[in-house]
Amino acid sequence: MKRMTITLLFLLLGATWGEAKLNVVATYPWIADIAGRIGGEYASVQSLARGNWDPHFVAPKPSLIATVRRADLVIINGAELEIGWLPPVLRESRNARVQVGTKGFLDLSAHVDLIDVPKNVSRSEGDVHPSGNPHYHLDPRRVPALAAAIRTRLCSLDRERCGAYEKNYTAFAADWHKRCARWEQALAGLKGARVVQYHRLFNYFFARFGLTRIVEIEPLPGIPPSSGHLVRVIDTVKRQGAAFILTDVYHSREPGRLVAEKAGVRLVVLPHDVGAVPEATDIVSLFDEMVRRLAP
Amino acid sequence: MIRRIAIAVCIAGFIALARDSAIAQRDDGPAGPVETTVPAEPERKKENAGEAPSGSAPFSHSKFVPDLSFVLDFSAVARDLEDRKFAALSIPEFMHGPAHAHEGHGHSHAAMNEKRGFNLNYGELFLFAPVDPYFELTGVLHLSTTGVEIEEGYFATTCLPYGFQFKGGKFFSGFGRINAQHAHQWDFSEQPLPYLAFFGAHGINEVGAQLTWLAPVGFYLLVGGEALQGQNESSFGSEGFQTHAGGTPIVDATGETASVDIDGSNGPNLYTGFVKTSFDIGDLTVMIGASAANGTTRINHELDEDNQEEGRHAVKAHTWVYGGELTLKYLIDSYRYVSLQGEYLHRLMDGTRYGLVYDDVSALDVLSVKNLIKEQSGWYAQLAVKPFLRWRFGARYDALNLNRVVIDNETQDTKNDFSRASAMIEFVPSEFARIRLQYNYDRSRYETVEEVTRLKTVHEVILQFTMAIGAHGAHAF
Repeated sequence: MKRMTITLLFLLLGATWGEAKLNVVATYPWIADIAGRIGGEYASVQSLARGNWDPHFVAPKPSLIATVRRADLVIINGAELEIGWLPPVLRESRNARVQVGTKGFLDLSAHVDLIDVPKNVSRSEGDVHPSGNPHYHLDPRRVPALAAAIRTRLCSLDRERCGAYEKNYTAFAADWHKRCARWEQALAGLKGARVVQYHRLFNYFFARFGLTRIVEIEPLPGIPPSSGHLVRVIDTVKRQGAAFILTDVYHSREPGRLVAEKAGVRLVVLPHDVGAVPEATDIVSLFDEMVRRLAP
Repeated sequence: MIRRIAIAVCIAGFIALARDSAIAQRDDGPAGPVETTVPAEPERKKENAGEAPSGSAPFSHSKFVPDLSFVLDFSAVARDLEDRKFAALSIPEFMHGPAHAHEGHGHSHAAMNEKRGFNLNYGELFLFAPVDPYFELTGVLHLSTTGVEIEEGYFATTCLPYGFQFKGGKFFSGFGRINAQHAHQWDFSEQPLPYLAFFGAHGINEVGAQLTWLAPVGFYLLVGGEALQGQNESSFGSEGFQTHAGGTPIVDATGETASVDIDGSNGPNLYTGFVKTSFDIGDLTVMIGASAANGTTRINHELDEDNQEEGRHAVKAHTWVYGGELTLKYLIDSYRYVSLQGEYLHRLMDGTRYGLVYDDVSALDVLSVKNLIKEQSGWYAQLAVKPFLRWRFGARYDALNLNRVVIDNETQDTKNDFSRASAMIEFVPSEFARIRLQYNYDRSRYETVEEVTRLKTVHEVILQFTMAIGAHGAHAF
């Protein structure tokens, strides 16, 4: 009798698990948003980092370990962006399903060709990423390939619902291509414009929309500008001219404001992730907002 | 009994390990049928500059080099007490002389900031890599100008089911908050007084086995236990001793020849257990933990000539240490935070003290065997504020607040006033370098002049440089 009760209990539990959603944990909100669109009603998606903070510096809070412990799939940006915080979280989670190299671990950077790959790697060059610039999601044309990678992985984890993931992906990709065309049209007037940014955060965005970066406010990745460097930046902007000084939401805005003021150029705070500014509530509105802030 | 349970748990762990089902399915690329329905996927294409040339190297192991990093700690110290006199100071009933005055644990190397002027405190070589799909291996070599020591060298499982992890080798115990952290992770140059007093300069750094379990709940809950060899310089020990080891004939109070031969305790004789939990309230992270350690104590200071104030003595006892910890960290944004951290440690030592007292009448060392009970506690609280990207400020107060020593039912007249206040400013030019200026107002050490033991206030200023190169893994919270 007792054994029967236990068997029944396990069957019941099994049945509930069968119905349960896939637990997807993304490192950044933009990844979570895409995964949510592909996974639809069958995936419950959480982001470890928040969109308004520096993606390189995320506190490895123990609560993140508890979140990863329950994950069926961990999706990361990759290209060393998470190297400073994710490894201990992943290891401490003791979740064998989502360790590097397993089916439950997806590195999206493996599905794009990275730009700005350094020829030599040395920390005397600042906080360089040996694999290349990791902020690839800011080229909207690359997003469908990322969505496809997520769909493929969801399918291999949960074959029974592959049809639904496929359908969600197709709908998303079709809609996304139309939006890309609209964003490109809206920024067509900016082709060739010179821009200054704080960190090499928007290089993919610039490449897509034909903007030319002339200098960064930080002298080396991760190294804040000295006053001498700022004078040189202002000088460069004055000589070469620039359409915008771009700054992200997490670095100090003071250096950008100073350069903009001294050189007489407009300062634009540009979001880089979902949640970076209140208007960017999902990946669509993130690009809508970027375009709105830059559009002539 | 405890030993038997520990062994049973280990065996169970390895059985579970051997099960194929416990090992996560490896990623062999996208599943077949899915791939055929979606051919339009961009293929991975990596042509990194600097990669090995495409020439054949069928037996090359070079890609398997483990993560390798080197940390160096260098300091300049100003102190208002000459080095020799500072080294002779003690924390009565807690510690004789500076940490490392005893060389009983098989080596001797400089304590942190030992000398006035320049100190090369340590170099540490870190090695880490997965062994195979089941284990990962960590090695930490502590280098000093006089030698090399394996500070940590352990394997940890990566595939046990249900949130378990098994660790074996030499490692820092999970007891408390600061114990498992390496010196370069500390907010201040040296560890707080209760740790120094109860566990010595190394903390609980032992050879043994650890099993931890991360509970499957919505918040962080870690439960762990350890069976350790127990060779701590201050609280635990396994080696037996003979009170007549010096060769001099020993007599008891009646003049009869006396000797005491204390057996060592075999096998692991230090057991620890800990529970840690953490949760977030908005941007505030709370971490709470409780720990306990208990084991046999064997301390043999008989031949220790430096030990002036307590006489030559040896202790056979059982010791319990309990610890409570609280960390509150409020994240203002990516770079700024305020962190408050505190721990309380309580030690109970119950056993026998064998002393050698010089008897004026017989002109011999006379053996005294007495019942010893020590009940002691200490705590620290520290505040660290990072108000700017590259600057950090901190203040710490650490103290030993209880020092009750009972010998043969007689409560001794012991010192009860041990405290230290520290302040520090750090400049952190990058993640890999740190320059720290620290001031200590140290009222924890005592000097003995003409058989009178009195507090000796010490002022210290430390300028410390800590830097890391290579592939140094990110630190846990």
